[in-house]
Amino acid sequence: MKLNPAEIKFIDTYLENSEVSFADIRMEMVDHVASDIESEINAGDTRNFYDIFKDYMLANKAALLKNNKQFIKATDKKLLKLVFRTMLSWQSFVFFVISFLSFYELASNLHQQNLHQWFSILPIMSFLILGATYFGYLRILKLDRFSAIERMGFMYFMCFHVFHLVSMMSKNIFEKLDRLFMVLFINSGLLIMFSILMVTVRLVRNYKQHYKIIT
Amino acid sequence: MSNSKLYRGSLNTIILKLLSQHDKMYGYEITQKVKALTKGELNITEGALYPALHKLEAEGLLDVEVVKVDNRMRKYYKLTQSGTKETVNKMEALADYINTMQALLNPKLA
Repeated sequence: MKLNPAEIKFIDTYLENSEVSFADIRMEMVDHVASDIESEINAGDTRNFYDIFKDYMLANKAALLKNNKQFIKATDKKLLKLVFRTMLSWQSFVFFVISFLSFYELASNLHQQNLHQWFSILPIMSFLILGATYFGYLRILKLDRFSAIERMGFMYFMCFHVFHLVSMMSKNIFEKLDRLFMVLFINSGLLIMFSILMVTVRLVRNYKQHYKIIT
Repeated sequence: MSNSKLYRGSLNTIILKLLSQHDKMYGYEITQKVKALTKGELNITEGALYPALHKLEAEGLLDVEVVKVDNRMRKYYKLTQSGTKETVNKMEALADYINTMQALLNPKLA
C-alpha cells in the first residue's frame, strides 16, 4: 500500500510548518516518513494514516529537526569550500585583473572621497537588486526555497555587512591611503562577491539538473 | 542505534560500503538494509544517517539523483569516483582497527 498525494502533501506541510523550510531537505524527510508509515501499514498496522503519523512524529520529530540543522551546517561548509575554490579559479583571476585595472584608472580620475562613496554604495545596491530579484521570483513563480541558494544569499549579506562596517570605520583613513592599496582592498571585496555570484549560478544550474522534475 | 558510541565512528564506512554494493540507495533503504543485515542490532536513526550522508555529499564522495516515486520525490545517493577510492581506504582502516582491537581484547584469536 502506498500513501496518496493528499497524505504526502500533509506530511510536507507539517514539516514546512515545523520550520523545515528548504525543499531539498524537506523532500528527503517526507520520503523517509512516508516510507516508514507505508512499511508500518504493510506490516499489518490497521490504524488510519493520521494516527500512525501522529505517533511517528511523537517518536521522531526531534531527530528530524536535528537533521535539518545539521543539513544547513553541512551546506554552509560545502559553500565556503566552493567559494574559496572559485576565488582561486582562472575566471576569478581574469575578473580581478580587469576590475583592478578599471578601478585603478577610475581612482586616478576620482577624488578619494568619491571612491569611498562608491565603496559604500556598491555592496548595498547589488544586495538590494539580487535580493529583490530572488524574492520576486519566489513569489511570482511560486518556487520552492532551496538551501544552498539561500545560504549563499546569507553569505553575501554577511559580506555586505563587513563591507559596510569597514567602509564606516575607514572614512578618515581612506582619504590618506595610497591609491594602489585602496584599489587592491576594494578589489578583494569585489572578488569575494564575484565568487559568491559564480557559485550561486553554478548551484542554480546544479539544482535544475538534479531536481529537474520540480523546477 | 544500540551501542551508539561504538558504532558512530563507523557510520560513514557502513554507508560507503553499502553504496559500493548497490548502484544507488535512498536514506530509508539504507536504514532498513542495515537493520536487516545486523538482524535488528543496529538501528540507524534519521538524525544520524542524513547528516552523515550530507557530509559525505559535501566532501564529494557521494553524488545525488532525485526521482519521482510513489507520489513523492526520492533522493538517491551513489558513490563518486573519489567515494569508491575512499571506501577502499576506509575498509582497510576498519580492518586494521578490528585486528588491533582483537589483539588487545582477545590475543588468542589475533
